[in-house]
Amino acid sequence: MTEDHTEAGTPVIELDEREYRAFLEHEVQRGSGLSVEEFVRRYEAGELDEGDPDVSDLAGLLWLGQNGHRAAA
Amino acid sequence: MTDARLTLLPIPEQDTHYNLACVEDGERVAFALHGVTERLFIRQAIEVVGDHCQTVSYAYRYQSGEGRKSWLLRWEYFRERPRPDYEYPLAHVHANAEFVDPGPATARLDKPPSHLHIPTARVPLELVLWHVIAEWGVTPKTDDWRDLLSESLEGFERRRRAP
Repeated sequence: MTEDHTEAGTPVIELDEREYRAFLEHEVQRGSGLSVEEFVRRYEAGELDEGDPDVSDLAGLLWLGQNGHRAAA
Repeated sequence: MTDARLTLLPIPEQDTHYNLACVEDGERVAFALHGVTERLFIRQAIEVVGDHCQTVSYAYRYQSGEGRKSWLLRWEYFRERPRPDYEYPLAHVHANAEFVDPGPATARLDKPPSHLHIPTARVPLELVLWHVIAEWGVTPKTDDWRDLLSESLEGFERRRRAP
């Protein structure tokens, strides 16, 4: 992990692929109690409550459906 | 309105893709606001396209405390459907509220009112900040907050209208 700042002073945290996966796993576990793999499977199957604030947030964090993303693939 | 900073998290192996949130001790958190005990959670997914940043998705939550379940209002947006059968407006707002006078229409709902995806246009973060300052009593850091937010909003509108 490296920390830097943009010219405007915005902090930038660069994670390598392993660290980024661990970050996502932690956030998804914390928000939903599921692993990333299980969250994605259940989200794509329509099994999660779309009205839950964590579900929508985590789908966005994982870029599901955006630019062809599937989880952290 | 806050001393917190949003952090950019580049997505490895995706040169133009970023997540943006307030990160403390490796976790995304809602940040404290001046003048009130409520907190604001911000998450944006951003793609750099040419010479500008494009919002891919966002979640903004105004909440009564640190806990995620204490949300009062939520603004959410996806540029594309997150799954093929996603049936809600891509830009929407949630209010953690109940109907004062629930009639037969609400009796047909298969969900609480707070789970309704109420359609909106895409809401720039600047308007959320404007809202919490103007109506929820959040204290701005400077007296010229209206000018600063207005200037930033003009940039949002220019980018939105760009081909």
